Amino acid sequence: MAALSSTPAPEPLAPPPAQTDPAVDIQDLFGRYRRADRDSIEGVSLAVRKGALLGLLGPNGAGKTTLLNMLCALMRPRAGTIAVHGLRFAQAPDAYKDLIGLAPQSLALYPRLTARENLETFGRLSGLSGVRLRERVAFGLEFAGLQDLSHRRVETYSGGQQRRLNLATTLLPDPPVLVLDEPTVGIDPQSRHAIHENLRALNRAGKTIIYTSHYLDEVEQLCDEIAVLDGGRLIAQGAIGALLARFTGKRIELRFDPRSVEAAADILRTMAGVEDVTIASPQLALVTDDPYRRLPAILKRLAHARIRPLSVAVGARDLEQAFLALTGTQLRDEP
Amino acid sequence: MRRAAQLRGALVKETLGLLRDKEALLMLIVMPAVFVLIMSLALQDTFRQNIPRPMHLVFLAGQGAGPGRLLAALRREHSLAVSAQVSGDDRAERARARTLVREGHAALAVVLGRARHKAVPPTAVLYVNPALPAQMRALGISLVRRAFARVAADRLASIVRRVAPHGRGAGPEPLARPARLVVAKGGLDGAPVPTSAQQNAPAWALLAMFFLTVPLSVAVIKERQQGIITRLRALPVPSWVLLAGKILPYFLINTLQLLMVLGEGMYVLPLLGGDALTVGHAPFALALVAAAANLAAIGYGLLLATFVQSQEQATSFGAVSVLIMAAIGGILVPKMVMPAAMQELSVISPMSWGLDGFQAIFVRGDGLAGVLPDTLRLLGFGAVCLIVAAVRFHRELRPQ
Ligand SMILES: Nc1ncnc2c1ncn2[C@@H]1O[C@H](COP(=O)(O)OP(=O)(O)OP(=O)(O)O)[C@@H](O)[C@H]1O
Ligand SMILES: [Mg+2]
Repeated sequence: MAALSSTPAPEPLAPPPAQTDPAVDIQDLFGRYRRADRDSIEGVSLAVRKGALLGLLGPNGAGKTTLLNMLCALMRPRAGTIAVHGLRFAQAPDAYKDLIGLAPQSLALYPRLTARENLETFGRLSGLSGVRLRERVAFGLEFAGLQDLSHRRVETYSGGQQRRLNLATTLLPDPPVLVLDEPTVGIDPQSRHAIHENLRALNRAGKTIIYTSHYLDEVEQLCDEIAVLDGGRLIAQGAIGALLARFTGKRIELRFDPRSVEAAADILRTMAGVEDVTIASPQLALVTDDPYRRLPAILKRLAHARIRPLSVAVGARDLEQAFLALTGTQLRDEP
Repeated sequence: MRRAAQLRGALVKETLGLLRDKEALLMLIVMPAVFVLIMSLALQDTFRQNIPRPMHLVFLAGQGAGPGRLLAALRREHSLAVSAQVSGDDRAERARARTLVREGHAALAVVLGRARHKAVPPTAVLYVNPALPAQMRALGISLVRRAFARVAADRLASIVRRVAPHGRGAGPEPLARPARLVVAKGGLDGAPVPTSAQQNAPAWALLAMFFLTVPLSVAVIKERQQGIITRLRALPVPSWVLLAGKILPYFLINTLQLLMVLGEGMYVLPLLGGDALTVGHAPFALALVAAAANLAAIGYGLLLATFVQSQEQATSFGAVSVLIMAAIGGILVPKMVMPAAMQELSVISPMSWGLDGFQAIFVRGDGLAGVLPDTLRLLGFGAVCLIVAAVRFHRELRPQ
């Protein structure tokens, strides 16, 4: 990762132009826990447009959960305002809560109840009854993929099954804004994929989704916008493409048969426009003045020497690198 | 409409949670059922006879009363531990005797007055500790009577010997007329004592009711520890709905438990050789006391639940506080075997109010009027607990 030192110094992205009718409108928000000596959220302003699928990123302790807690009216802001669909909590508490569905970071299920009973309980507590309740419970079971296990107690479920149910429970009252705090922790890739498909479908159907995660690749695949929190402040917000482009840098990464790496490096070092070549066999990274202009020539020269790269990547490999550049911290402890 | 759905949701989840909590059911249903049988049978004889040890009798004789034979006769009674004191005049001795028994220093006190005239026998007054159970009181009085009768019989024998035709003329002087025994007022009237079942059935039923504190507060803590409380707080559901959802299932299970225990006392106990439980003739009064005790227990449980921070605290503090209340309140140890000072202390325990209420109906045959004071106390206690718990619960749920 030596090449990362050459990425530009992090600077916040310009926020997108203010939207006239955002789903969530947060202005100058400050939040502090009782008996804490500093704010956990320090002056965050964030507008989330209706129908957005926003990834909320940040290292541990950045303040993601705190921000969501204030959004869901679990915590009183010390200063600033929050409006959801133009409505503030103080104006109409129940109506405000009806707008938001929260999937808490820690599992929020009754372990002694079955999946169906959990869904029914939270459905009723949300005010559902009768046919509507039955429909939504059936939807929830299907969403969680637990139709066959619906009669078993949740305490007998695997961690991933519980997570899925946790998420499905949130969807029950069908609120327009979904707030999902790390909903896929401990879920295997297939299930995660299925959940993503479902979330995308919900998003297409018009739901605004705020999704926090430590899995950058996940956010990258799922979301179209991100907001990055660090130390209680919003340090970046925008379309993923724009963020990536900004941190794309001038990098090309090539992977070879290990026997060819040295030879390839020797060739590339002699080429015009190539500023730096580092080897991490079987990978090879080079920094050029303009990766897309130089790439054809590079491939041509290698082909001439009968060296064929196994893979080629241009730009910052992923959001992880961009994030690292932005915050100077790793999102997750382990990659 | 919406609140009805929410209330239903809160009720169903608490009910299912409770029904699937095996430990809770063990404690709330099985424990009292088993204890009532065991303890009623085990303590049966104690409640029938009530002679745990010799009763302490203080014998006070005014100066010149000549107590010799009477004292000797009393001392021959093995169930009496007699100590004799001689001093003062009659009236002072009587006052002392009253104090001695009232304060529990002696079970019985006999004051032998001075004989005023040769032809008039002296009077002996027997004072009985009013706190003694009726059987013990009766036994004590009969023992003293027996001693007096023995003295009278001795005198009769001496007269017979003197006038007997085959006697050798004038024998020794006949004995002096023995004292006439008077039992002081208050010696016999007093509350009848409960039978073993009348003590044990309501006592263990009450203990189990209050023991719901443990599962109830553990359930609340678990909701708090898992993310459930976060979800509940994010839902548009008022705190009173959630609280009501917690009250009703426990109320029902406590009622069920009490009915089971009473039924067991009435119908099962006699099958096992015990005395059947009799429950008086005031079903409304009984229902009232039961409901009041139930609410007091639930109120206490909810109050505790809003204070404890962990499951360990909930179990240890809940269990210990309930056991202390039970010990003080005459649940673990019947009040009638407690010394007077402890009996007075027992009024601070809500379980004692409940027990008194039940026993007023079972033992004294009281109706609504008789149980009203205890019922009001229980309801007052329950209401205060519930209000404080509701306020604290509401604060916990609203935005912090
Ligand atoms: N109950 C609390 N009392 C006091 N401080 C808290 C409390 N909860 C969180 N904090 C602090 O607030 C800051 C933000 O925490 P928060 O939980 O919002 O982080 P996060 O971004 O959600 O982290 P993670 O990715 O680990 O979930 C942290 O410094 C944390 O120590
Ligand atoms: Mg968090």
